[in-house]
Amino acid sequence: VITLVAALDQAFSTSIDGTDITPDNFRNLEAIRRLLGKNGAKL
Amino acid sequence: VNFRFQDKKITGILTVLPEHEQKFVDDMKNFNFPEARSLKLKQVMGYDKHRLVTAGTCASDLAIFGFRHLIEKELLAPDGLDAMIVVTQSPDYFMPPTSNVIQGELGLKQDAFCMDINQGCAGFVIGLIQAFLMLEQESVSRVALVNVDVLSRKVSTKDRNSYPLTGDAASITIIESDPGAGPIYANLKMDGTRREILIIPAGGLRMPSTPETAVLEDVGDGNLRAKDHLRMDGTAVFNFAQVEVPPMIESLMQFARADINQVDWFLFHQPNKFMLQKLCDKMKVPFAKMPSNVVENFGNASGVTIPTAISFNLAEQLRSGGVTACLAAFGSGLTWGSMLLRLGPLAFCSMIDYR
Repeated sequence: VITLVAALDQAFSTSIDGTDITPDNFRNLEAIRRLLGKNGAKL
Repeated sequence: VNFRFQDKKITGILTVLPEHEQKFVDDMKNFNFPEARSLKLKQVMGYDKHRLVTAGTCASDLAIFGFRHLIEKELLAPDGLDAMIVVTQSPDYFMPPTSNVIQGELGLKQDAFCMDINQGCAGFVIGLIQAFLMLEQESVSRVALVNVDVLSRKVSTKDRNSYPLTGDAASITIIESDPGAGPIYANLKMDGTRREILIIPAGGLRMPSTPETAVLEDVGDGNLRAKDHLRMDGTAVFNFAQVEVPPMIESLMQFARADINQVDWFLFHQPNKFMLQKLCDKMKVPFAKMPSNVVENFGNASGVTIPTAISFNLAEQLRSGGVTACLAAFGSGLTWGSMLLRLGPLAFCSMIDYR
């Protein structure tokens, strides 16, 4: 998960809030999309 | 719990590191993961090399080596300590306390309060709080705080979750009464309901070590470890730190009526670079104010990482002057605490290799 977060941070020029790094938020692509939206990433 | 102390200060810090250095690229051969994935982890977490004791080296060995260095260099008088606090989760024995082992080996005076505290990554903040509490007594004017762990001896080399970040080390911090020294603020919280996210399941009386507890098992995450080994739920630990630490620092600043921008250095426990970066982002603190290079150079030696961060990054600055420092530590228990204080000038601040 950590390496995925680092990659997402870089790809979407954001910093995913550390409190959001929980298994539920990475369960599927839709959950990841919601997470990125919540953290201000431009999709 | 909030604490406020007055007329006390840290006067010296020595870090003792085992001479043996292990590289992550060599560790990788033991892991049950593709090399490319391990290299990605190396980059994100900041893993590179770590210092580990060789077989048979115990917590007291590192501490005694450090004390002898200080005595030989005339930085510490053997009869000058009124108390010694040893914080470790890898003691020499169940009994006697490791502090008594150290006291006996060094021949320190009997009129001294020696005690062990079983705490891990929060151990530097807890140890300082205990030292300051002891200094409230008129008969106590100088305390040695020893943070030491040799937990690599309790971590599976086939556990990529824990082994690459593990380091062994000791630190000796001298704390003294100093009428006129400014206020020190601290806070501390504990939550034993989450004790199992960082645990060594076997080896105590709840689950004594047997041949069965020494058998390596894959519990489904690709890592191999035995019940005798340290087990860390990495995601839960990460989330714990992200949820609890920023409000703890905010609460500390409110208690001290201080502005977070007045802090020169954020000297936090060093689990990995990624976690520290996320904490900085959350607290809106410049990453340059938070040293994060301990894991990559030495490994995470539990309660020793903050003194290591200080002696590795700030030694010269602290020998000649002072800084405003915010300490934060978090780990097994679960336990988390922070402290705001003026640090320096120090009589000594250095690192030595244990040989």
